[in-house]
Amino acid sequence: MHEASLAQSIINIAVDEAKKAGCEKIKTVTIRVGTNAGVLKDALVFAFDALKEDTPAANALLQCIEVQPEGVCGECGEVFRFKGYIFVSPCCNSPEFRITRGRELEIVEIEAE
Amino acid sequence: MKIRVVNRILEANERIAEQNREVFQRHGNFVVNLMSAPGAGKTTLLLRTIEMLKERVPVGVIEGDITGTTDAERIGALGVPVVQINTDGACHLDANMINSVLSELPLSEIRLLFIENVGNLVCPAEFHVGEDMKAMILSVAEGDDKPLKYPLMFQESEVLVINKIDLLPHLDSDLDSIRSNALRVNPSLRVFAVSCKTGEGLTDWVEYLLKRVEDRKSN
Ligand SMILES: Nc1nc2c(ncn2[C@@H]2O[C@H](COP(=O)(O)OP(=O)(O)OP(=O)(O)O)[C@@H](O)[C@H]2O)c(=O)[nH]1
Ligand SMILES: [Mg+2]
Ligand SMILES: [Zn+2]
Repeated sequence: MHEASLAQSIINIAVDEAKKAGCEKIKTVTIRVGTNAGVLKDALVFAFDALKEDTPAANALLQCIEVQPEGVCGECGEVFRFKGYIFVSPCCNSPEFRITRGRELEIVEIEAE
Repeated sequence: MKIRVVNRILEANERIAEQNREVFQRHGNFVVNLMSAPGAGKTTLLLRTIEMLKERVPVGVIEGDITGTTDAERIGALGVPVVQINTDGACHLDANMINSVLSELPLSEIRLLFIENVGNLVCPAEFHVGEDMKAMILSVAEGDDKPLKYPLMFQESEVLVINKIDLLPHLDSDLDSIRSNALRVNPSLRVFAVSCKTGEGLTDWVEYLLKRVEDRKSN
């Protein structure tokens, strides 16, 4: 629901990084988005495209790499994948588990010239 | 040219939240970020809570709403310092919005600072603002499946206040299943069942808050 403010942060970070590298035009911005990060990819791309005008990212493409959720069971140590939200580990039915992936929201690469 | 960066997009918010935290620590403020869906009873709980503890600890309030000042006016009537933030459409408060109103509050005279977040059961949980405690309200009328359908806020919160228990006789939802669903999502939640209308259960919540404020002072 707050994709617009996230898109604005992405543009700000990308423009900063490109400037630091001495570039003027950003071609692509690649981000990693966990499927449990609470972010709608389409809404994010839509907001990015609306906000990028009149910035060095005006022609940039936002590429999203989806990250599927993963967890570690605190009982048996098994690393497991899951879908959606879980409240106990699938192996031991234990509430003692840690989610290790699936909530990331980060920029990994910018292509600029 | 390809530029490798690993940059968490929420990091800008985290940095400002950290600055807020330093300001709060310097002034000795214990800060509670109060979240819930619209109408669960954030302002009403604040009014009742402040009435009960304002003689024992100096209180201040930051009110977050999409638009309007009605909640800040209700709080201001109690004679405590309050500042209103209007998010102009944004569904949550972020650290920067809090940062921008800090100078409008007499922080050195406040021990316990409440932040009433925008009414929304999802987004506010994503943004730290520099608080010491996240507390959330679920009113019994919202239904006992809510922790399972909107888990993030329940997972992020230290305290769950189940409000409007005076309405239970009129509803199908029951307290035990709300509580057990919430604990399934977050086993370490502190749960208080209250009615802001009758006052039932409020003392336990207020004492818990005061104890947290005390603990903060002594370390
Ligand atoms: N029956 C009953 N009604 C309550 C209780 N607590 C609050 N209400 C009512 O619920 C309505 C909404 O309460 P508010 O305190 O304004 O809710 P809020 O969470 O601050 O709402 P927003 O700021 O709009 O998100 C009001 O009409 C309150 O009088 C309660 O314990 N029992
Ligand atoms: Mg309110
Ligand atoms: Zn949001």
